Parts: sequence; structure tokens; C-alpha cells
Amino acid sequence: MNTNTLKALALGSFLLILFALIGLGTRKPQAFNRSFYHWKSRFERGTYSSIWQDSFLNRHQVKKLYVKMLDVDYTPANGIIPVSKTYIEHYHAHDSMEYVPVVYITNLVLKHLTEADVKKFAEHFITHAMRLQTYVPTKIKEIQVDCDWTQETQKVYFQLLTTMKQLLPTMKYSVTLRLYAFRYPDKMGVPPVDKVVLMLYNMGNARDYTEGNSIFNYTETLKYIKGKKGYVLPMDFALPIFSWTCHYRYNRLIGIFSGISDESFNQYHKYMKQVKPGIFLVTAPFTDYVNNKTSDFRPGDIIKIEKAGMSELEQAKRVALRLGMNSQSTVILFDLDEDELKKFTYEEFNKVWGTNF
Amino acid sequence: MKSLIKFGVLIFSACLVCWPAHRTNSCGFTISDAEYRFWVFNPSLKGIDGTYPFFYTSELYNEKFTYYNEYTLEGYTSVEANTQELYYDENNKQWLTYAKTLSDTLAIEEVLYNTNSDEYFTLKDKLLESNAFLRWAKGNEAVLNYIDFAKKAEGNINVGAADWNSCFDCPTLSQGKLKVKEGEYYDYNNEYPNVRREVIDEATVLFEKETDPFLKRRYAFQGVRLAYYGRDSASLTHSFQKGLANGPKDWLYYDALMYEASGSHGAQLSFKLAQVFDKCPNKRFRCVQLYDPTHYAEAVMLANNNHEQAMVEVMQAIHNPQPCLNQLKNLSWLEPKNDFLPFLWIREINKLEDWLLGPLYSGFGSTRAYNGYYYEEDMHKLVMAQLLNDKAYAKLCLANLDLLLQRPEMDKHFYALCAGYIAYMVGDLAKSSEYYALVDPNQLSSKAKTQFALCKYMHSLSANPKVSNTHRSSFLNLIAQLEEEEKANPDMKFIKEQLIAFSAKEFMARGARAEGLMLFGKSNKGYQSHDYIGVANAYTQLYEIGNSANVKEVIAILDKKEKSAFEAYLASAIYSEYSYEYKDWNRDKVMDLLTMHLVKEDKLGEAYQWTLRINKNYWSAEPYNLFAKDDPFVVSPWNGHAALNQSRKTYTKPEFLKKLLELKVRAAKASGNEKASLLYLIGNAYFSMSYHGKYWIAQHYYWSSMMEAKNKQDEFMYPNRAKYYYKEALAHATDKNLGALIGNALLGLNTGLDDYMLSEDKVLKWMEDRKLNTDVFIQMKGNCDLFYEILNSNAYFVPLRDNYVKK
Repeated sequence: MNTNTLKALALGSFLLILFALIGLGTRKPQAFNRSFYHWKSRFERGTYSSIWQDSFLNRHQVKKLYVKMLDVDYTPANGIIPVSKTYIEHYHAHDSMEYVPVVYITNLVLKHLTEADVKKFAEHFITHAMRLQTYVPTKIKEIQVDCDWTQETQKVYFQLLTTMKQLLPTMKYSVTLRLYAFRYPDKMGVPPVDKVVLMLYNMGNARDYTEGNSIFNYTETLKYIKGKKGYVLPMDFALPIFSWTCHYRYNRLIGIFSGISDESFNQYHKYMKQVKPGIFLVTAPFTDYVNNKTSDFRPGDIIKIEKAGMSELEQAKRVALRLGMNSQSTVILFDLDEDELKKFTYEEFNKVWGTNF
Repeated sequence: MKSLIKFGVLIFSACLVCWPAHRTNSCGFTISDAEYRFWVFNPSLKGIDGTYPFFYTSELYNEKFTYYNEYTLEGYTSVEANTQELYYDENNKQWLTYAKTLSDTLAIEEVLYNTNSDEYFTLKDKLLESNAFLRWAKGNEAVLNYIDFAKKAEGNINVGAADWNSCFDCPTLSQGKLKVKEGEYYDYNNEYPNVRREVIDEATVLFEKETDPFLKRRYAFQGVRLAYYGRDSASLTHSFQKGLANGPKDWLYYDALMYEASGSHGAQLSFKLAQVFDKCPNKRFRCVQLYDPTHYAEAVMLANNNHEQAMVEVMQAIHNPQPCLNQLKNLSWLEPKNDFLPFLWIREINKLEDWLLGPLYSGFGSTRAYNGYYYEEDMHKLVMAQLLNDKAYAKLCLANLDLLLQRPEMDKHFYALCAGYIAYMVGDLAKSSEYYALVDPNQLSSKAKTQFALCKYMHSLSANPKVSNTHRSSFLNLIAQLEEEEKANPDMKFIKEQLIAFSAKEFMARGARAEGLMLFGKSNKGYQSHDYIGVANAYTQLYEIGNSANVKEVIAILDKKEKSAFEAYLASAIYSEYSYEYKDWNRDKVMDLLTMHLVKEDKLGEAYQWTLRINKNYWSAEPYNLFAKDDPFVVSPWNGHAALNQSRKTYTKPEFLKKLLELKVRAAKASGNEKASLLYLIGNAYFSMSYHGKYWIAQHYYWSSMMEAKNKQDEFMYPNRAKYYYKEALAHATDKNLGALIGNALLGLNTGLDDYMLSEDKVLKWMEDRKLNTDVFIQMKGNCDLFYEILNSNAYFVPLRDNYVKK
């Protein structure tokens, strides 16, 4: 090879390496599967009033939505009842979103669910969850059950899940998993489902205002994941982006409001004084109109504001990464609420959903 | 393009035509009608429970009964009894009568109202031991079964849950296959029932089985309620007709009738609502909301007796915010002792107060709805014409009250009080006295006694040309009485503050101007609108309607060592600016307002002396800190209003006045160009103090873009004094550069003020007449590059250059 050929080869190799490097550098960062919980009493898509929400989902390329369809509770007077069925309004004929209906069951329901009734209620839960299929064009492939089961109710819960699977075997089933159940599968059992979603929020005790942030507490979370690599079932992750206001009277939690905006709250500052960051003592009576009902605040009441902001979200994501969250995982943000979402920027959402950390 | 221009002109003209001349909008907010409505006649004088939202004075009233939110009714429960508790009382009484051996009302309330469904079933065993009502019920299985069922029904209704099987859009599941429902399910009305079918059916079965009449009616009542929330009209009608329609007409009947009425329409619905309104205080608001007055003629035909028809008249009257003497007449004829008649007369008086006294004592006039918007002049005519109509209407009311007063069964003292006040409102003070003479205060309730004293005070003040010490002491007594009553009825605070606003205006009209001005501070009612802050306060009143003599008197009262009780009241805390909180008078601010008056009166020396009495810190606080960094003797050639904050000189108001006085002394002694330059600086100072200047704070309390249109006669609004000094300066100037500078100022500083300064032609003529070289002036007004060279070349421009030309 003459010198010119060598030079040409060297130049070619250099250019190749350069392009490869540029190519690597400009590759789009991988992202998790983006998803949201829709946790409201009305589910609307494609309607006039859901314009903002729809555009948000499109802009952020959210392809999967977990929609709460039903709250099931037990009352002594009425037994196990559907206390809240989500009202649905949906106009998208060519919607490509994947929908997962969610049934929320209180542990009290499980306490009163007899073996004889399991089949009946399993059928109710499936049919009420699958109401969603009446309205959405994409085929529903998965049903999720959200329940904070205990050792006491584990047996009937798992029986319920198994029965659901037997009643509609074509469907995939997932359940939500609290940190305690994640940490102690030997005590809490492994639910007979296809997949679990680890809930990285609602981990504290909101009933006690002196405790730390009950929405997300990094230190507490670390205790639960210490030495853990993952779970025996495939696992997705639910992270918090919400805030709430807890109302205490005589040291007793008497109300949780999710609908108080900062503006609304600020106007009541004259009726209260801050005793600790985020904790206020009511000094004069006032009334607020939240969540469609009037709430009275009396002197001596405590109001605690708890938030899951960007720092909590990043910490939760760090936890999820340690537990094996990868580009195949679905990251579900709780929940799809316009007021809460507007507290974050577009870039912040990208940061949460990006695999680069 | 032409058509585009035409379109633009058309839109602009349309905006001008449609722009409202009479508005109550101020700086970014709207004041609601009820907030500035004038009223001092206590609407709860003959209060009937559950009618508070229909007081003509109530803010809620303006919502036209379509919106109900408890927190808009501040003090609602203080003004009248809690209507829900009245409802409980009736039920308690019936249970006590039924139980015979039971006397513990609290035990009944604990179970029925203070223990929710879940708690009841969880704690039932304990309650059966601890609660006297349940202990008694335990001995009577049928009663306990009823209570259990009532609690079950309550739990179902409160949770709002339907049966699992009541699902119109659920798919069906069979042999591992799902069959989705077909069709459209987007109908908003297609909502789930809120009650379980089996509970409604259970109510019917239990009703049929029950033999005890007391419990049977209650099962029927539960059936009505459950069917109502379960949207089951057939079951509702069945339960009502079989169990309640033919029984006693007690609270249970009327409460159930409210649910039953929901299945009626038109006149039937309106008639039933009128009857429920009569008997159920806790349902009055909802009845008025649902009542449709357009079915009046048919509704009265459904009445079986005078009372039922009278209640339709009551509903018509409540629905009518306009004159409703006809309804009052009908009501008096049908049932003169109807409980609602006095309430409706008070409501009519509150309307007349708004219509007749509102234009006098509210800064926003009456809340009378004038159709459309009008220009000021047309609006004035309209208001005057309406006022005459309303006076005529008030006289008709008076004539009707005369008839009522002749009827022996009527409450003479109450109606004479009403008539006396209406006569006062129409301006017939003699007749008013005659009516008041009929009132024996001993025959009045304590509330009415206060009202009578208030009406007599107003009458006496209006009847006398001067304010007497008797008026002052009556006023103080009334205030004390109203403050006492305010503890039980927050509405008395409104009355108190309206009375203060009334007194302030009446005191001023009777020569007690300083006292009147100070009284304004004690009221936060809309006694005067204000361009800048919406509603006037004591300080704006001192400036806007007071003069220097009045303000000096105010200061004298504040400083007086041995104050009378009335003076002590005046000098005590007032509503502060920008808030509804009481604060002490700000003496510095009052003195500053005095200096503003004095500057406007051109009493600069006296103004300066007063500024020296003001705390020095005052000048570094807001708003003066906003003016601290500018030199008011230097005016920007490009924008005289601009505060560029580039000056190294700082002036407090005393320093400014002192320098202005010094300049005037020096100018008087000087001559030629020196005199001209001094006069020019004085002109600048006056320009700065004008509406267009940057140091308007020297003579004006507020600056608002609305002021220009409203104060055309205000000498300070336009820089007339500056013009005078600029002209004087130009008359003495011989230097062409100085002449140019003054000429430019006379031109209006290129700020479009040539209408009231001088036009370019006139300035040029002025300069030529004085044989001044106009070259530099022409350069200057053209703002060309040479202008900066001129600025740097001559000593006359030093202040301007130092302040506005960046180095």
C-alpha cells in the first residue's frame, strides 16, 4: 500500500469512528414505558373538558393508562358494595392507548368475604372492571386489583384472584404490592397473578401528623429494600406525584383533601399559624369548600400538607432502579391530575421517565 | 385595506357606544350588589327561621336562588336558629309522645342524628345498654327493627351505592367469555341509581307488614326517601300515597311531600313547594330554588283554603326582587296574621332603602337594574326618573300600611314603625313623626326597640339644620347597642357601619365637616367609590372631599388632650387603607394630606412648616420611597412623567418645598437669563407635581389613569402653573440655548400635551417675538444628534445632562 492509500484508509477509519461516536452520542435516550393511574370518579378522554389531559398524554407519549373503575367497600348496613363506580365518557374511535381497569378493594371487604361468596364477587369485580371495554376501542388485556391485604386476609384474597383468573382466563392479572408485602413474601405470600406493581408511596401513617411525610419517606423505603434485588414475579413501579392536605382534630385524622390549591390555601393563612414546615395550627374558625363539600376548620385543628415533589420522585426512582427497573418496566405515576401535573415541567417528566439518571 | 380600516373604525365606534358609563368596577375587582346596598332596617326584626337567604340585604339573594353555598352565609346560624335542629326537635317530640315512658331527648338524638349507620351497627350492642332510647326500644322488637332499618336506609343513601346487578354498561361473563354491551352509553343522565333495589323493596314489605300506625308511617317515609334517591318514582308515589297522604299533616308529611313533589311539574310542583316552605324551615331554601313563579295563576287554583293560597303569595313575593305590593295586599286580604307578612314588609322596606336612600348614602347608588348601559348624563336622568317612580311606589306602600294600621288584629306598633320609616324615606318628615308617635317602645321587642331608636335618630338628624350634642350622644348610644347585638347577629355590624356612613354624610351636610370626615373612618361600607382603590376610605375622603381647614380640624381633634366622648370615638382606631382591619389614625398621613391641600392652594410656606412636623421616617417609607431618587426640578425632555431614577440627588417633600420656596425668592431678585433659568426650574417643579409629572405625590394622594377624564377643572391635573412659569422664563431668556430648553418645555416636552401647553407654531412665534434664535429649539424638538452636543455645551443644561444623559 502506498502512502496515499494508507492516508485514505486512516482518514476513512477516522471518519468511521467519528460517525460511530456521533451516532452513539445522538441516540435517543431509552425511556421506561410511561403510564399513569387515572384515579377519579369521572373518566373522560377525547371530550371537550379533557383537552388538557389528552394533549399532555400525547405530548409525553404515554401509551398505557390504569383506570380506577370501582371502589369496593364493606358497611355493616349494606355488606360488600360498589361505593364508587367511575362514570365514563370516551369519544376516541381510533385511540391507541392501552387501558388497564383497576378495582380497588379495602381490606375490610376481604375480612367479610366468605369462601362461599368469592365466586360471586370475583364475577362482579370482573364485569365492573370490564365496563371500560364498552367505551374504549383497544382490546383490554389486563385487569389490576389494588388491595392492601394482610396476613389475616391473604388466603381469601389469593382465592379471589385465582377465581378471577379462572372466570376469565384470557386476561392478564396484576396487583399492587405495598413495601411490606414486597419485603416479606414469606409472611404475606406471593399473589397468584402475572405481574405486580410496587407502590412507592402511601408508606407512612397519615393518621399521625407528627410522623414524617406519609406519601413518600426515603429513609423508611431503604429499610424495606435493603438486600433485595427484585421480586419473584415481574414487577412494574408506581411513583407518586401528588399532594394532599390532612385535617386533624383532637389528634385524630378527620379528613384528607386532595383538591386544595396553593392559592386557595394561601388565603387561609390568616386563620392559622405554622408550627413546623408544612404543619399549621388553626387559630380562628374558617370554612372551605373542597371536594364538593364544605369543611369546617376550628381553632386547635391541625392541618398538614404533604407533597411528593421532584426530589421525592427522584428518590423513588432511585429505589426502583435498585430493584431492577429497566427499559422494559412500566413506570406508573400516581395520578393523572391536572393541578398536580402542572407543578412539574416537561423536562422534569422526561427526567423521571428517562432511563439515564 | 380601506374596508379593513372601515371595519376597525366600526369596531372602535361600537366599543365607544357600548362602553358602560355607569359601572362599579374598580381596580381589578367587582363589588357585588349586596356589598354596597344601603340598609339600616334590621331584616331579622321579625325573623322566621330559614328565611335568612331571602333577606333583600343578603348577598346570597343576588344569586337568584340558583346557587347555594353555606359559607357565603357568614353568621347564618347566628341570625336564626339552625333549621336542621328545628327539624330534629319535631321528630324528638313525636318519639317522646310515642314512647310515653321516655324523657331523654339527648338519647334519641344520639341514636338518630349523632351516630352514623356504620357506627350504629358496630356499636349497637353497647348502645343497647348505654343509651336510654335503645334500652327502651329493646323492649319493643318492632321499634328496634324499625330503627335498624332506618339506619340501614341511612347508610345506603349516604354511601350512595347501588346493587351489584344494577349495571347498565357491564359486560356479561359466561363460561370464560366476556360479552361487551353494545350501543352508546354517553348520555349524562344515564347515571347509576344511588340506592340498592333490595332496600327499596324491603321498605315496601316492612311498611305492608307493620301494624303500628306510628312505625307504619315511618316505614312509608323511609320508602319515600329511598325511592327518591333510587330514582324510583313508582315506589315513591306508592309509599307516599299509601302511608302518608291521608295521615296527619305534620313534619313527616311535609318532609315526605318535598320528595314526592319532585315527581310533579308546573303548578302542582309550585303549589306543593309553597306548602313545604310553610312547614319545613330546613327546606325553605330548596323550595324557593325549585319554585317556578310563572305557574302562579294555576298554583293558586290548587289551594283548598286561604292559608294555602297565602303561601303561594308568599312564594311569589319572595321570588320578586322588584316592587311586590300586590302580593302584600293579597296576603293581607287572605290571611292578615300570616307569619310571613311582617317579614315581607321588612323586605319591602329594605328594597325601598336601596332604591330611595341608596343614591344618597351609597357611593355606588342604588342596585336598581337599569336596562343597558348609559352615558353619565342619560344615566343621571334615568336614575332621577326611577327615583320619582320609587317614591310614588313608597307612597302606595304607605297608603296600604295605613289600611293595615286600622285593623285591630294587626301589630300596630310594628307597622307604625314601618310606616314612619317609609315616610322618612320619601322625605315627609312631619308624617313620619306622626307614625312614630303611634309607636309605644314598651310594646316593641328588644330588636325593634333598637330599630325604633335608630329610625328616630335618623329622623332627628335630617330634621335639624345643625348637629347637636344630643345627636352625638344618641349616635354613641346606638353604636354601643348595635355592637352589643352584633354578638348574636353579625348583620348588626352592617347596620352599624351603614349608620356611620349615613351619619358621616349628614354631619358634613350640617357643617360638622371634620367630624363627618372622621366618621368615614369608622365604616367600611361603600359610601364613596374611588377610582384607584374601588371604595373610598377615611384618608381618601380627607383628600377628595375635605379641604385644608377640615383637615386642620381633624388634626386638632386627634391632638386634643381633653376629648369629649364623641371626639374620643372619632379619634380611636379606624378602618385602615387596603384592609378591613382597625388601626390607629396615621397622624403623619393626615398631616401629609394637609400639605397636599396646602400645596394645591399654593400655600407653600405653610405646607413646608407642616412637613417639618411629620416624622422623618415617613418620607423614606412607601409611597415616598418610590419618589426618592428623582430630581423633581429636572424634567425629561422626552417624557415628563418618567421617573428614571438616575439622579444622584434625593429630595424628601420638605426638602423639595424648601428648595421651591428658595427658587421663588431668588427668581424674584434675579434678572435676564439667570431669572429665566430659575423660573424654568420652578416651572419644572410644577410640571413634576402635575398629573403628567413624576412628583405628583407632592399635591395628589393617588395617581390613576381615570383621573384625567374626571378632573378637567383641576388646575394641577394639567400643568397650567408650569406653563405660566415657562412663559415667564421664556420672556426673560436671551440666550438661544436656554430659550430652546424653555421652548421645548413649553411645547409640552414632546409628550403630546400641546393642547394645553403651546403648539410648535406658537412656541416659535413666542421665541421670534422675543428675538430668540430658534435654531437650537428646532434641533432640540427634533431630538437630533446635535441635541446631545447642545446639552454638553452649555451650563444651563447641566442639571438635565447630569440626570438624563448617560455618560
